[in-house]
Amino acid sequence: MNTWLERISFVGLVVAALLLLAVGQRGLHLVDRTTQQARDVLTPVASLVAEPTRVVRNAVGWLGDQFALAEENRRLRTELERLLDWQAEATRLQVENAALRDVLHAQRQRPAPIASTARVVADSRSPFVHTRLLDAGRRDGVQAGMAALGLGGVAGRIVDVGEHSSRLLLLTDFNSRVPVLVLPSRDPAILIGDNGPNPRLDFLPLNPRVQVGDRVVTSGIGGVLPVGLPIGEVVAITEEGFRVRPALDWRELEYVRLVRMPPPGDLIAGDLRQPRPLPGMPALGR
Amino acid sequence: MPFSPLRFEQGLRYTLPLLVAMLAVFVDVAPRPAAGGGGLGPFLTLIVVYFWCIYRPDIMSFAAVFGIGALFDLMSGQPLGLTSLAFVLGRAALMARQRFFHAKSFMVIWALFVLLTVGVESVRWALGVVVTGAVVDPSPLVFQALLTIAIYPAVTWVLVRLHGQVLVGGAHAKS
Repeated sequence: MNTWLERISFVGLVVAALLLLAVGQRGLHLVDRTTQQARDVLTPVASLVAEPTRVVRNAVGWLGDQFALAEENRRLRTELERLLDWQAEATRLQVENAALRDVLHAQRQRPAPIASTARVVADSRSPFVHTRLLDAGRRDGVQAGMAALGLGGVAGRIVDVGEHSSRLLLLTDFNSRVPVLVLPSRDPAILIGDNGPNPRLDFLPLNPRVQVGDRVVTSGIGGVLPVGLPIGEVVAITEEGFRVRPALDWRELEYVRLVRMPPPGDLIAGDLRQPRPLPGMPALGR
Repeated sequence: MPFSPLRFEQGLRYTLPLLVAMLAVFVDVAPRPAAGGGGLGPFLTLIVVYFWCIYRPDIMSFAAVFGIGALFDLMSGQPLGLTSLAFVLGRAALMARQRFFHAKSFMVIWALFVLLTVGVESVRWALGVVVTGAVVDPSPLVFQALLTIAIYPAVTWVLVRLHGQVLVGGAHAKS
């Protein structure tokens, strides 16, 4: 280093970086607010730069799809057959469920309302942090703690909200803790992220009845995330515990729907015997 | 102060390396699909910062690399100061050997970049472990470092053209 000025700025900036690291971990309000405001200003730029990369990615994806069209068509036809069977079964169960609720005079909670839809504009690019920056903030109705749904299932929850931007903590992040239920046993557990692709289940009851292939949904315990949102599937039983593969389609994590907790006591009463189309499913039409 | 095209051009020449580095940050953090959420790719910002540190250290100063690192941390959601510190230490290591760069072949500069990449990614990994308290698998960073080293010649080819056309070319025109 040539000059004293260079040496002083080197030492000063090393100290500043260490201070930032130390202060950032303490979660000081002033630092949080300043970073949120800076992110609000920079999010439109990130959104602008992300657009060409999205177009290129989509073009590459489209090209890949062209080569796999026949195979994809065959796979989709098989899946449609299977899903139509499932839809018929689901409709039958829905009617039966409604009839039983009617007999018991039980009420049903409304599905979690969608508060906003946001676009992912930045990636975390780090093995230490699994987050996404979203282009919607407080002004769009986003609140900390909201669940974010992508294609297939829950992506994570909102942890940091600015005026025009927010940060989404993915299920796989080291800091992610989500109360879940394992189906069909209904064993409660906590889904813990460890920065790997498949988070693990912990705090299960003694002698858990969990098996590979079981579905995992949010339990709603703790009052942060709504009940019954799809999380994933148990894929492995290891010495460290049960591993869950998120149902979320990571390749399509471009937009997320943000859902808020339904208010307590927001129940639907009345005759539920008329079957309603399941969310996201078209009416039967074979 | 009245608008002067010459002054504007000079200002643009001076800020161009910083603007290119900032653009590299936004390209780096642009979403990409990856299972598990840890989308990885080449670390373009590191290439741009290294290039301008060698050829225009007056513009890519300690404060500039600190700011670019902070921008990367801010947009990527990493602990603020992590990349700043790695960049400042990396620049200090480069500047300590500044005379060595003069009139060296591309292969030598590339080999030095390999060393810098290893150093910067090691510092980022070690700081990440200390700050988050999580000893994560370093293989994604190794993969990212390899991609960055592999793509270095292509990115440098673009930067050399930019450097020649806009910065050096402008200086010649002025003299």
